[in-house]
Amino acid sequence: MSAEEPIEAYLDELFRSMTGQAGDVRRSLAEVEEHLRDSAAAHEGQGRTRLEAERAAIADFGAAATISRGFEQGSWRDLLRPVTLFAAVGLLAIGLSGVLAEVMGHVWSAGFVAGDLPGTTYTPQRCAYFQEYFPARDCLSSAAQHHWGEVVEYRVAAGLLGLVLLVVWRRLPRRRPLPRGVFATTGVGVFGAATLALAVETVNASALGWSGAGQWLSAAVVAGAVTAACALRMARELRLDHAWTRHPARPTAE
Amino acid sequence: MASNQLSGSLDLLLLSVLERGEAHGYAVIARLRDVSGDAFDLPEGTVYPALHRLEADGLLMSRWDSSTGRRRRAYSITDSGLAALGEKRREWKAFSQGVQAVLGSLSRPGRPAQAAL
Repeated sequence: MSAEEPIEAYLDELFRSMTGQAGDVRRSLAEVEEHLRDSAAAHEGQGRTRLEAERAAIADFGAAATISRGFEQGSWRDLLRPVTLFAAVGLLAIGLSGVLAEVMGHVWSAGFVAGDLPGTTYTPQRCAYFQEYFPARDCLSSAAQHHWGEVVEYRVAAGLLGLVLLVVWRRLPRRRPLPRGVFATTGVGVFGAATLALAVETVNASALGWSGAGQWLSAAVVAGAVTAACALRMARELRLDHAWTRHPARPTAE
Repeated sequence: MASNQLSGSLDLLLLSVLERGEAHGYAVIARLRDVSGDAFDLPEGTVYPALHRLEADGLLMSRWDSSTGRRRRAYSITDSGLAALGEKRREWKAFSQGVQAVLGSLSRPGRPAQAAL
């Protein structure tokens, strides 16, 4: 853009320095252009040439770098919605792992999900407590039944809380979105680490005879599925960013 | 007025201007300048990020307006914005009264500096 068109050159510079959602950038540029045209018209009305008027309008408006920084300044409130969604996804994953633990208990026994490690013993009082609910079973078996129920109930309760958070998330006002890829990348990091830790626990439990391995395995499977979903989303968003870098004239997809 | 002095009160000023009715960014700045008697020396471009932030906070709403033949983003104050404006006005009044009281007490002639401080 030549120096003969200062407003056009300024808008180009502003466009290059702005990041964020395509719609926000487009709207900001449209507003800035309207402002500069109005301001330049006012300066021309005071007797300046078009070139002088456009330069004066730009000087009044401020440096493009300063303005773009202003548009990108976030607030802690911007994090409220994504953090709520992240927490909801995490809790829903825990709830799903509870459902999976219930299925595993039915398919492979309560001991597979919540059985104790070899060598575990209970006091007679504790055994009596477990056997009160499962009188036909021995102490360890009734303890496994009891703990299986706890694993499932607590996790499903967490999942229900996740559903509540999902409703809260839907109702929270939409604000400036996080930069592209941040949510998915965080998901890959957090759920990937959880998958790894849960897989290690599963292997440990299986090495000691599979007793109680199901509680870790059910969680690892769900955490792994969420990690894979986040990884797919991350890859899609990074591909879009790559396309954007190669074709900067095209706005980023929202 | 220096821009750093003004920036802390920018939200209050923008909400006050828009309390009088819907306006687009350029008109908001023009109103601000007219009412203040050109006292505010703020880069005009810094007003737009503030308008966007106030809109994201639910204190303003905006729409594209083409009634003048050109497409402009017009801003108007919301009910939450009016409530926030009332609160900010109260805060500003208390703050300015405090500043006035301190300035008034320190500028009285013949008062010993130690007593004033």
